[in-house]
Amino acid sequence: MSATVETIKSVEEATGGDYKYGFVTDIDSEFAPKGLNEDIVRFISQKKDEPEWLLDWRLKAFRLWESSVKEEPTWANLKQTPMDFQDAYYYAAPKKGEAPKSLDEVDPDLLETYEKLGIPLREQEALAGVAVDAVFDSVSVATTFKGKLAELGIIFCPISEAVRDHPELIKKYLGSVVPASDNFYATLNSAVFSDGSFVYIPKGVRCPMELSTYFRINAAETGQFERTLIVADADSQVSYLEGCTAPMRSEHQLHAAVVELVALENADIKYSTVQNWYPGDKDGNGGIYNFVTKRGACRGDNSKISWTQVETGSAITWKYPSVILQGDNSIGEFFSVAITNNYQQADTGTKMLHIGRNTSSTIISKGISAGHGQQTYRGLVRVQGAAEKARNFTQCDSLLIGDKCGGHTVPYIEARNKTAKVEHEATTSKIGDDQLFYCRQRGLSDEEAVSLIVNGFCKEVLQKLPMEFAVEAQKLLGISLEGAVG
Amino acid sequence: MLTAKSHNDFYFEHFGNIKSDLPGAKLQWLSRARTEAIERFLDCGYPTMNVEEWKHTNLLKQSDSFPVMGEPSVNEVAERDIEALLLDSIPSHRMVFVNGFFCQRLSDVGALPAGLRLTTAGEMLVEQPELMEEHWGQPWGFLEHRLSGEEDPKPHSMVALNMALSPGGPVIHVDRDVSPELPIHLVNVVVSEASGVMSQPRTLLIAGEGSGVTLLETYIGGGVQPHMVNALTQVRVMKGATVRHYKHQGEGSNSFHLATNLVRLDSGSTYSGCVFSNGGGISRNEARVRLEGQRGDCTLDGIYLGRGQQHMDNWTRVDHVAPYGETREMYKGVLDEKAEGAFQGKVRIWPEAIASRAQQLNKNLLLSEDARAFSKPELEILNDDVQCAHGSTIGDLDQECLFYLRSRGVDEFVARKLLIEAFVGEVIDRAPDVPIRAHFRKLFYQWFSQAS
Repeated sequence: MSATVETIKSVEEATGGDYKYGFVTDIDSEFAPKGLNEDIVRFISQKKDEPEWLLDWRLKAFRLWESSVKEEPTWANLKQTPMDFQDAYYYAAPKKGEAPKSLDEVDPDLLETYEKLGIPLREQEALAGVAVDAVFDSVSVATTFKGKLAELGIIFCPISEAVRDHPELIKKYLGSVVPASDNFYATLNSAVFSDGSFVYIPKGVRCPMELSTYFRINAAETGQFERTLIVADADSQVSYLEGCTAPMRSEHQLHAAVVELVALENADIKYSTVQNWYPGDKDGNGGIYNFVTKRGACRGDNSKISWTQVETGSAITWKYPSVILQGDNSIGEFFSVAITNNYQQADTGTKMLHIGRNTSSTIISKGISAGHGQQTYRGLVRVQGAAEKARNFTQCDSLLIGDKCGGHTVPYIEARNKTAKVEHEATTSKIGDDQLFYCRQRGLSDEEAVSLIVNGFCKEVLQKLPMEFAVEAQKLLGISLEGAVG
Repeated sequence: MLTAKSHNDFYFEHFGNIKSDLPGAKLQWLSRARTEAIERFLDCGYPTMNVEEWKHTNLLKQSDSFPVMGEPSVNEVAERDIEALLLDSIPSHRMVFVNGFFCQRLSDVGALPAGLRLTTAGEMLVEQPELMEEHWGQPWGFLEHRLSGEEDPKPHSMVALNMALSPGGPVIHVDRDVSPELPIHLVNVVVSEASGVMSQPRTLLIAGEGSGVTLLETYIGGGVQPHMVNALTQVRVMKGATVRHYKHQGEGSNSFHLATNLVRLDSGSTYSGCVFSNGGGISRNEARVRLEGQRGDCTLDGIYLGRGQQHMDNWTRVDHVAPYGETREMYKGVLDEKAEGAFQGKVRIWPEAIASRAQQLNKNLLLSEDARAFSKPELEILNDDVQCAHGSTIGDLDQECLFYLRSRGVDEFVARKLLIEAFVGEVIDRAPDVPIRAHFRKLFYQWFSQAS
């Protein structure tokens, strides 16, 4: 049997059963009633003890969403069953009395869940030196290392807490990068967002450790709508990690998050994601619809925002982490590895909007499609008239494994300034028989050879991940293509 | 500005007035196809910028007034005017059309070799209606199939309008294994009177099995009067045949030029197309190629040179339906002053089209502060046995190259000319026909020398 045929076979053999995070934690939860209306929005706001202005903001977004509910976007290369927005819970929280003051007060069931996920919160606190905010269904359950960070003036807390303790910051920055009217799912999120992380790095501070959030959808028939806001003040620096998992359920669950980053003068934000929501089974049943709006604004001169993502999960991924390069000399980066196997679909990419002078952006996107997976890179690079000497380099490569999958590339390139230099290149191919032959001739097995080639294919991106994540990401690559890449 | 509604009424009324006078009006299949086409257009209206395929071309700019439909009666063209517009023309079998109507007086078909038929749709509909039905009867490509599963008729409404209203145009039929020595040159001249004239030329080329033919289409005229050309060219390349298809689009600066080429390739056939556009105020050249037989070979090239307020849109789609096909695309734009250039190219490899290869390249030179370029090279691959790549660049002339030349005593003007010529020359030199390369070069020099 030729190597390619074998590869295809092993990809087919690899089923959703390999999703090792598919367990459900049996925990008492509190739900809002099913469906979505103004009362639900008020209910969420009330549950969170929110001030009046935030409720108004939510209601405004809700009305906007309501008026556009019939115009669910259809432009992406995605085949999806229409969603019934009234047939889902918009709020689910682990039942508990008071909010925990420290990890010792956190429900041991929850801690165990995170343990299973490979995020031992205690251990992390003691050893790894990574500050973690864990979001379970809609609510942030634990944040580690708070004390140590507070000494430096760094704020790292659930966004609901930030609304209470730092309303001036939230008022100033919430919705300033992704306005409530931005797009269908962002509007929905603005109306019903439950929790998420808030990070503020004060002037001149380099965050001494990686900040990290783990998101977990547990309850059935719920959507998760978290909202993350990171503000890096002048001359500061932060690296932020995000991971996500969900149990295996036969229905589709919606995850519509919004992430906003603001980098002021000379600030540097690095945002890494390992997305491993439940991808559905091998016949395409169930799985998370991951419709996320992520955007960063380089507001100050010499600022930098870097997105790194490893997308292995979700039935459908729809996500375009973008950078608005406003400040002069600001830098935007996007590194992505996306894998679609079985019936997974991904329409993902980035937007780089060059507004300031001497701005530069780099886009490296690697897509691997296997089984019946369909994958689209969709990106926009726009150079505005004032963006003197803007520079962009884009490379997006697709690797196809099996003859039922698809890999598509849709780049939009727009230049309105002659001093700009914009370059784009893309390739699509399968693993070359000659490459396999070369490896096998030197004594590698088929599996090893494919693994070597795929790892080499993604290397440029994996190298950009913080070390804690790189290991996990490499493991995930293996699981997602189990059998195919060893 | 007039509303879309009143435009619909206008076209519907016009169709009612002329339908019994159109060639082949008595043929049932044809009148049915025309009725279907006008209904399709009335449903969709002009494609707006919200239609993805038309996002860079704003048709509403022209719809301030109703166009005057082109008529043969405005023919007041002298032969020397045409010669001047063509530069000096290459030896060919030449047919001239004025506002979409054949003009015997200006044409010079010469002695045709056996097996080459050069005529008009009107005549062909009388002589070989069944042949015309095969190619005109099926409304080809009326729906835009998108990967999301959507089927959208809107991008095709201008094709529908042409199918409904076109008075016909040239029909070229090349018999099996016939390869005419001289190219066929179709010249479309637009003559405007005081208000804008709209013409709907429709061309059909059938290259029989194993034949080989060169076709050059030239669109000129218009002067400073506004006018609109809505052209449709259908090319059928039969088994093992070769078609070399060139087009020069060079109307006056107040014109709208919309054109669609529909090309079907049978097995083992070769199509190489090249569009040279430097005319028109707003132009959109669309090419759709389907590789329907195995081992089809397709080249799509384009050059767009813009200045002033010109807007030039190039839109291509190649569908690899059958195995072992190969596509190469190279589009280059030079944009000066306030010109805008756009390239949208799509290659789709269908699941059955194994061992397909596709290369797409779009490069843009921006020569002034206000010039703009938009590029969207797109790949849709539904099969793993492929080798596909695309690339796109936008930028100014390389300063180092300029410095190199100037440090060797070449003045800036000449240095720039050399570099731009080399940039465009890469596309010109891919043309298989040497006389046409020379013709395109001449057009380039003329364009360059007109720089203000």
